[in-house]
Parts: sequence; C-alpha cells; structure tokens
Amino acid sequence: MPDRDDSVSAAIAAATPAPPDLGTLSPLIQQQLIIDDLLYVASGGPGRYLQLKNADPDTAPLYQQRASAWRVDTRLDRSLRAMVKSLLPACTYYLIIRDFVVEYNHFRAGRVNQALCAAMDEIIQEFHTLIAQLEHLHRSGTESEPFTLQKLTFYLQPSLTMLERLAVLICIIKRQTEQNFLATRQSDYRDYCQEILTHPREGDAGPTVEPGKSSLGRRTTAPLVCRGGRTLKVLAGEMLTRCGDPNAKRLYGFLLSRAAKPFLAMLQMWLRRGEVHDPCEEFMIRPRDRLTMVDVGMGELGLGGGGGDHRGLDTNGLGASSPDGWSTGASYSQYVICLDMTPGFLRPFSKKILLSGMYLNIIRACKTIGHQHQSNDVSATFEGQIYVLQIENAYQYANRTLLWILTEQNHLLNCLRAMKHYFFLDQSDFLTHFLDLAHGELRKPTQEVPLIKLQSLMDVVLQNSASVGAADPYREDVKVDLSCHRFMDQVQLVLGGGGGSTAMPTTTTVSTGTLAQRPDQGTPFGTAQPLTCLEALTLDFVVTFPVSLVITPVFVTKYQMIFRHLLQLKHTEHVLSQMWLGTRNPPRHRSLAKKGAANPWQVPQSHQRIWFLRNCMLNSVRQIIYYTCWEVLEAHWTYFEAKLVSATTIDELTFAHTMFLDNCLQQCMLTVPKLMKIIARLLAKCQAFAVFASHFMRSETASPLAATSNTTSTTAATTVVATPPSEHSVNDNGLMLSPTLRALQTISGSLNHTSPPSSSGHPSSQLATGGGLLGAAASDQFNHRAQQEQTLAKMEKSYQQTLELLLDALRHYSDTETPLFLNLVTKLNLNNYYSTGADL
Amino acid sequence: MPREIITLQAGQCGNQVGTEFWSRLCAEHGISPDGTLEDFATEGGDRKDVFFYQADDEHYIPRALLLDLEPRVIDGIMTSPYAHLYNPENIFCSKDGSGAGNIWAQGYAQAEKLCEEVLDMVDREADGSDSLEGFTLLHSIAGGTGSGMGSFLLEKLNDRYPKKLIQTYSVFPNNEEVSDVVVQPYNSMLSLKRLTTNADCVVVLDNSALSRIIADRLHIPDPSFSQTNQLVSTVMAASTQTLRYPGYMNNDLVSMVASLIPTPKCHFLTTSYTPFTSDNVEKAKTVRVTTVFDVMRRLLQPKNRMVSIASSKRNCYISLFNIIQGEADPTEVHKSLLRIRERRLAQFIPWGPASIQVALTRKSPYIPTAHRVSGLMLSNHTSIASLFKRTIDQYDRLRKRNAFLDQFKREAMFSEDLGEFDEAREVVQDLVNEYRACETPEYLQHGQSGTDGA
Repeated sequence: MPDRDDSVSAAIAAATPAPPDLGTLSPLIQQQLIIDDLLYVASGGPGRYLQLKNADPDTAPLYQQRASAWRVDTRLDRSLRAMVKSLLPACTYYLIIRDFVVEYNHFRAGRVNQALCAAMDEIIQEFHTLIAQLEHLHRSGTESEPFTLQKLTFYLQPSLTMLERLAVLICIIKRQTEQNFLATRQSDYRDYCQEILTHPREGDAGPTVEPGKSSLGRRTTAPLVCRGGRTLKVLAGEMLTRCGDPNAKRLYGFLLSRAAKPFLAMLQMWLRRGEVHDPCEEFMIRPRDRLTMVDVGMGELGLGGGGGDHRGLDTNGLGASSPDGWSTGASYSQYVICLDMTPGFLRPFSKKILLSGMYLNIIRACKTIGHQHQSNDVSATFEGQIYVLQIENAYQYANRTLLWILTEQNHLLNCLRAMKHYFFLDQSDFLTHFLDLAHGELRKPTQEVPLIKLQSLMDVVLQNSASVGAADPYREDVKVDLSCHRFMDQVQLVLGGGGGSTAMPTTTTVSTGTLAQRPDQGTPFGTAQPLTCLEALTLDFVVTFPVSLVITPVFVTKYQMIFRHLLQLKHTEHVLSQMWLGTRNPPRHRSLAKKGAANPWQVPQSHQRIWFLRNCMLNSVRQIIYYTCWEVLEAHWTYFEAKLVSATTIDELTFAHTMFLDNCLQQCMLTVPKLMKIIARLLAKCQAFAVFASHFMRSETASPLAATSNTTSTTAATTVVATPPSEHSVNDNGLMLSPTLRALQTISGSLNHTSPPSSSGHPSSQLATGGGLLGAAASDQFNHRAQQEQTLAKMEKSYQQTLELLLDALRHYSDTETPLFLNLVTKLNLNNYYSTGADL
Repeated sequence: MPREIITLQAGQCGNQVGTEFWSRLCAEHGISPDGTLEDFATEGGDRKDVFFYQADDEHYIPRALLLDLEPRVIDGIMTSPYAHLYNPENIFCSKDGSGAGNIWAQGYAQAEKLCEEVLDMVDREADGSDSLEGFTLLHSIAGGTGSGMGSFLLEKLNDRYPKKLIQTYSVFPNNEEVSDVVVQPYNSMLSLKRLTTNADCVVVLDNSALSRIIADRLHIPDPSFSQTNQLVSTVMAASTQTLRYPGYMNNDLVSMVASLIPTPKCHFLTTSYTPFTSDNVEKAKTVRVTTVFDVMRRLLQPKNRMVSIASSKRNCYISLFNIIQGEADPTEVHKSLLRIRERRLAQFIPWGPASIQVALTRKSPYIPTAHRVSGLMLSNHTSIASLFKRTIDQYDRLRKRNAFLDQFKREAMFSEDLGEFDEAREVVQDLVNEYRACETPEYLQHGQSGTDGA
C-alpha cells in the first residue's frame, strides 16, 4: 500500500503545480494551508506539506510509527508543526483502517472479516462526513474568525481515539496472521507443503500457497489466519480488556455485533441443522477431513483434557475422534472443534455446541424425524447474552432427541441388558451349554481351532428355541472371539496405561485394536505356552449405529474383561463340579466294594482328603462367583439401570455407564494386579487339582483289578507320549492323557516352586510322578501311590496358603480399593477356619 | 437344551407328590393342564425344557415317568384335569394291578420282572434329551412300590447311567405314630441302603415333620395328603427354581449338589421353607414379615425343618444352601450373613471352612404371592443321623423277634437267607457313624471313617 500511495501522490504532485513555499508565508496562512493539507490527508488524499515517509513497513508497523511516519514540511511554523504532529496519527490510523478494509474485504478473508470491514467502513464514512464538515467550517471561516488548528484538534479529538482503537485492533489482527505464518513456516510448513503436494485438493489449498493470489497484500503467501472465529476472538478479547472505557466498549461492541453476524448465522445453522456451511474456514466446528495446517498444532481437539467433568465424555468416549474403531456413520464423528477459532464468549459452551450439532447429524443419520426444532435467531439475541440460553436450548433439544432415539427407537436399555446377559452371564445357562458343546474344542490351542467352528457352536446354543434368550433379538449380535492375549496380559495392558481409570480409554483403544487381530499374526508372547481356546475365549458384540455412540469399543473391552474373569471362575466351578460327579465314590462302585474284605464301606483316607480339598475349592470359587455376580455386578447394574432411565442427556448416560463399568472392574478385583494374580493362581491350582484328583481316584479304583488294564494303559500312554501333544487321544477311561501329564508336571513344578522342595523335589521324581499316573510297572505302584499322596499334601498346603494370601490381600486392599472386599473375606472365611494376618 | 432332568415317580406317594409337583410347575411356567402355553405366559425368562419337552409347537410334556404297580393313583391322575399333560407312553402301570402290598420285597421283585419295559421307557426319555443331567426319583420309603421299585430303579439307573446324577425326594414315614404298615421298618431299612449306596443326593422329607408344619403354620389339625403333598411340591419347585429361572449361578443341578455334599456318603439333605401359606386355607393367608434376615433366620430354626430330628448340641451344618426367591437385595443378604455369624445361629463343622451359599432367584411372574421374599434352605446337617438311628432302632425291635418276615421270604432275594437285611443295617449304621464322625474335629485326620464300631 505505501508503494501505491507513493506512486499516486507522485503522480498527483507531478500534475499539480508546486505548492507555495511555507517559509515565505505568515503563520496564519501557514495554518490555513496546513489545515487544508491535513484535511486532504485525513481523507486519504495526497498532501502538499505532509508526506508519508518511505519507511520500510516491514521493520515497524505503521501504527507504531504514528506521527513519525510523516514528513512534515520543515518550513512550517514550529508551534503549528507541534499541533499538526499531534493530529497526524489520525491520518495514519485512517490509512491503516482504509488499507485494512480494502485488504480484508477480499472474499478470501472470510465473511466475518468482511462484516468487520463493512462495520469499519461505516465508521470511516462517518469520519469522512466529519472531515467534510470540518472542511466546510474551514472554508467558511472568516478573517476575523478563522478556523484554527486548535478548533480542528477539538473536533477531531474524539475521532482520533476511536481511530486509534480501530488501528490497534487491526494491528492485533494482522499480527496474529504474521506470527502464525512465521511459526508455521518454521516448523510445519514443509510438512504441510508435502501434504499439499501428496494430497492436492482443489479449492482448499488456495489460501496458502498459490502464488497467483498475491494481490491480497504483502503477506499473500501466508494464510489469512485471523478470520472468522479468530477475528471474533480477538475482538471479544479486546473488548474485554477495554471494558473499563465505555466508549471503547461501545465501539468494540458495535464491531463485534456486526462481525459476529455471519458467524452466528453459521452457529445457528449448526445448532439447528447440524450443518457446516463454511467455505472460508471461519467456523469453530470443522469437518475432520478439512483440517488444514492452520489448525494442526494449535491445540484443537482440546476437549478431552478438561479434567474431571469431562471424564468419559472426551472425544474418545463419544466416538468423535476414533473413526478407525467403528466404521458406521462416519459423518457424525467427523467433526472436531477448533478451539482457536472459538470466540471467547463461546468458549465455555464449545463442548455443547460441538455435541449439539453432532447429535443433530446423528439424528439425521437415523432418518427419524425432521427438524421442527424452533429456535429464535441466535444473532438477534446476541446483545443480551441470550445466546447462552439459545445454545443451551439447542443442546438440550439435540441431546434429548438423540437420547429419545437411542432409548425409544433403538432400545438402548434392551441392548445393554443383552450385553449384561451375554457378558455378565446373568442367565448363564447358555454358557453352560456352550461349554458342554465346545468342551473338546476349548482345550485345544487357539491355532488349531477355527473361529468359525466355535461361532457355529455358539449359534447353536443361542438359537436353541428352549433357552431363555431364545426370543432375544440381540442373540445374533454375539460373536465368539479368541483373544491373542492372556487375560492377565490384557488387563495389565489396560492397567499399565497409567493405573487410573482416566487413562483407560486411550490404552484400551489400543488394546482393542490389537485384540481384534487373530492370534495367528504372531504375538509378542509367542515364547509362552500357546493359549488354549478356553483361555483365549471372549465374546464380541456387534453394536449397530447409533447405539455404537454410547457403547463404544472402550466399553465393549471392559465388558469383555469382566466376561473373561467370569469365564475363568465359571470354568473352574464347572471343572470341580464335574470332578465331583466323577469321583463320587464307594457307593457308585457297589459291586466292587462288596468283595472287599474287612470293612467294605471303608474309605481310604486319601479320598477323604481329596473330597475335602475339592469341597474347599468349590466353595471358595462359588463364593467368589456369588460375590462377583450379585454383590458387584447386579448391585451396580440395578443402580445403573435406574440412572439410565432417569438420564436426561447423553452425557449423563455415558457418565453413568463409565462409572458403572469402572466400579465393576474395580470391585471385581480387576484393577489390582496383585489380587488378580492371586485369583489366577487359585483358579489354576483348582484346575490342576481337578485333573490330578480324577486321575488319582480312577487309578485307585482301577488298582484292585488285574494288572492287564495297567499294561494296556501303559501302551496307550506310550503311544500318546510318542505322538505330538496336539493330537490328543483318549484312552478307555475317557481321560486325556497327555494334558494330564503336562498338567501334573506343571503342578509338581509349581509346587516345588512355591514350597521348598522336600525329599521328592528333584526333577526326576517329578517325572516319575507324572509317569506313575500313567501306570508303570505294578511293582512301582506303591511308590507312585506314596508320591501321589505327597503331591496331594503339597496341593492341600499350597491351596490353603494361596487362599490365606487372598484373604490377606483382600483385607489389605479393602482400605484402598473398596470396602466391599471385606464382604468376600467374610464369605470365604465364615467360621474363621483360615488363619489370616488379622488374627495374628 | 442341556441339563435335562427326568423325573421318575414311583408308587402311590411318588405319584401323588409328582402330580402336585407338575401342577405347580405348570402354574409357574404358565402351562395349562393340557400342556398348552397360556396366553398370558409371554414374559419368558424361564427355561421350561429342563422339566418339559415340546411335543409340537404348542404342547409341553413333562419329562416324567409315572410308575406304579397298582392302578388306583394313576387312574386318579387320568381323570384329573392334568390327564392329558403326560405322555401316555410314559405311564406304566402293572398289568395285574395287584400292587406290592406294602412289602418292599414284592415291589422289588415285580420291578425286576418288569425291568425291561420300565428301562425301555427310561432309555427312550434319556435319548430324547440333549445332554441329560440326571434323574429325580420321587417316592416314599415306607410302602411297597415306592420303596421296592424305587430301590430297584436306583440300582439299575446307577449301572446304566453311571455318569448321571441321581437325586431323590424321599418321603420318610411318620416315626412318631404307629403305622398301619407293620413292616415299615423293614421297608425303610432296605430302601435306605439303596439311598445310601445308589443315590447321589437324597432330599429327606419326613411325614411327621410335614404334618407338624402344616398343623403349626396353617392351623389345620389333621392335614390331608394333598396338603402335605402341596408342601412337598412347593419345596421341590423352590429347589429347582434356579434351574428353571436361570440366573448368574446354579444353572445346573451338579453345581448345586456338589457344593452341598463334600463327602459322597453324607448326601442326605434336609429342607426348610418359609413362609408357608396356602391359598386353600383361609387362616393361613396371614402375611408374615419377610425381610431377608427374617427369612434366613427362620430357615435355620429347627421347627421349620421338614424332617423331625432330635437335635443335640454336637449337631452341626456340613453345608448350607439358601435359595432366596423374590426381591432380595444382595446387601441385605450379606448383612443377614453377618448377623447369623454374630449370633451363632448356625453351628458349622469343626474340621473345615464353612460357608453359607446363597442363590438369589426370581419368582414365577404368574403366581401372585403376598410375600416379598420367600426362602428355601437345603442343608446337610448331621442331626439327620438321628432319623436313621431311629429307623435302625425300630428295625432292630422287629428284627429281634423276626416278626413279619414271611412275606419277604417268599421272594427270591430273601428265600435263602436274610443277609440282605443285615447288610442293609450295616450300611445304615455305617452312615450314622459317618455323620457322627463329621461332628468331631478329627474327622479328616482319622479319615478311616466307619471303623469306630457300631
């Protein structure tokens, strides 16, 4: 602009005759001439005695140069010159404003800037009028009553402050652009260019790098960052800082109300229809795929970090920023809030604004109802801060409508009930059936069982017309899945993210992503023993849009964790019950007992001990299940369901859901790795014992029979041992030998590990223990029996230790986690049979 | 669907109890007497297939075998509204129809003769189920058919289905009065042996206790059979509640029973139920306070126990299982547990960890009840031994005189010697000893139970 001005003034200077020399004239004439000149300059014309310096505007903004930007004719009277200098800033400001209006009136500057320019233009027009009036006064001044510089100063003074304020504002706006340009040029610019090159987008890339658009001003390569919401932000901020000055406040208020109009229109469009019509990227809400360099790295998406009250309602929780997880209805999740474009006065409501429109989009995606939502014009009520009410109304409306759609049309409650049904096993008959049917498959390593087979078995179970859930419309949504992580690993993966539940969402998303893969991709835990299907079994639930908004993968993962925990418990209970069925003894071998000699009804002591230990284990496991199911899951569910029914907003609902699951996880002992480990150890001991005991009892009852059966089983055993362990063959007892052997070896291994090795602690005897079960030579029978009894004794001891450890740990963690643990302690140790640390 | 249970009803008592049981189940599941589903029975949440199977889309048929050696009771059923509920093929009635004459040996011998036919029926039913969980036998041990035929069935089932659970609901005779069946102690003793050796779980129901409870609770001085049978059916329905209305736990019989019976031999369970009301009796309609604690406390009272047993201070609970029906709050349940522990309302075995297991279950939506909560307790209590002891005493008294043995000697089993009697006594005595041993802290250590003499 200075170039242009200079050239124009030069042209004018060339056309007009040279001005009279001031030094030769009287001060009075000088005053007349200089007033003339001032008025010219103030209305944008060239001056004869006042000329812009050709200073480099790059080094210092025009605004800061104030009067020094002008070259005042040196021959001017000194006192006059001082007065002129005090008035000259007005001319500077005028030029700044005029240039700004010209520059930012460009369509690329956005509608808010245009509106601002229009408002400023109005002010300038008024200023023009003032200048014209002053000129009139100047012209009509008489000899006796001349129009003096003093008078001019008097008239111009109010305008001078106003112009100054405008100029300050403009400079701030411009500086925003410059700073940002510099910042981005240093760090992101190259990346951005790279991105532009690799993903060229017509139209969008325009404001940044196209060299043809340089007519905008001297910073044309920089994007006009300060536009739209950002301009408003600056304006509102300025208004706030100057709020002590009523004139300034009025001025900024006027500008703000004008400039905000297009923005508020967009806001209204968003609030009422959920649409963004924003060609110039001015609005605070932005479609995700239209994020530009300007927005990246400027702290947009800041919703999640809002602290406690945002818990569960961060963008993750709402699926807003996890487009990779659920692929349905991409449109709704594709909006992000750009805090940098959010005017300060809308900042507290930004979350609500984002959600309102997003909900409207979802509602539209549900194609249920039209938008009869009647709302007053937001912009019309801007002055009185009623916009707050409007936003609140829009938010409430969208929220309620969506909630209505979710609960009434999509039966959210039923869906959650179904999830409870399948994941929390509140009618666990289907699982019992499934475990029965898939019994053989579940023992194999995951790689050997096709998922589809398990799925078909599950389908058989769920579609059974007689089951409770036969009429359940959600039964088709249940999918069997095999996790590639051990349960402990999964939980630790989740917990490892930071220990607290606040850190959970991000970590769980990560784990869901990896869990979704089939295990055959090679797990990091490849060195460990391959997972059996039972260990890996988990359920997945197909959540359809729009219910997937509130049941996100994060939630599903939590459900899965509880399911896997329950499954382990249930399986152990099942194993122990089946063992009971298999080892009901002497009565069922009546014919055998009859032939016995002294006391046919006599029971070997070892059997008594096995029954006793089995009973202890079964009772403990059942108490843990009871505690988990009734005292934790059911109790929380009842509370959650009440909350669900009374919830008036989606946020409340999501919050209640998060609380529900977090509480359940915590009270199910899934948040304390130590407790989990103890439980896992306890269950492992129970399962190992079941294998051991059923074999023990079988060999016991088989022993009086002839050695022939022993030899057959020996041969069977050798063949089994010879074949790879993947091929499980079943001997005549219906017992799988090789897993038994393996289990026994692990048992004795773990026993030796936990308790210091006694006489039979060395590895060869362990092998002998395992081998002895398979029936070796008859002469060894007695030795094996003795060893088995030793194993039994160790099992008894280690079980008791583990349980006492659990009781101690529960007592300890009841202080920090939840006092509910004490309930479990009471149940497990009703008659203080187990000694615990508290008794000492 | 899995875990079906086949019900065998033997003899007069068994069939009468069974009739009440099935009519109760029908009412709870909304099944009309002819087996069709009632219009109102839409709420679901129940599993009918444990006890019923669907003949076609509409008809539900009980998995029940009705067995008797004389036609009187069966005829009565066939003229009742429930005549068309049962599968006619599942009704077996001896052709000569003479009955067992209240002699165990006759019942056993006739059953032996008819063995094929009866077992064919059992096999057919068993084949008709996906994964049979077990059998439930309903009988009394005092008469001829229920005890004799029942005993025979137990032995056969045991051989044929070694992996299936065998549960019985056995009605014990009224020991306190002189029975009109003079050989009752013999019958009881011989049946008891089979119950000890061939059943996995025996729910003991005692006629004298049932009469007492009805007299006390329902204020009827002289209760009829149908009233006692209603009581029994209520108990049976309640104890199978978790199977029919699946919840978090106890959806199969094995898991329930396994936790109740630590030592296979001690598998005699006593029951208590509260509150008892009857719609038939006006006076009994009083509503009692039913907080969870009240229910759990009352269940532990001996007077609510459905076995009349002489308790001593040494008696203790081996295991306890409460089925709470209705709207019970888990926290209330826990509070009740604490109070029971605090007040020492239940004494437990001294040699192991004790636990009170609780199952919370829904009520049938189709039967209105005045009570918020009702409860059934299945317990394994050592005082049951006194019942067996009494049976032994009565048996000894008869046996000493060798009274009334003629009719037994007519059958092949007893024609040569009476060794069967002695063996039965031995078994029962051993059982009594086992329970006595359970009351001592050294139970596990001395292990070799049954050696401390008769």
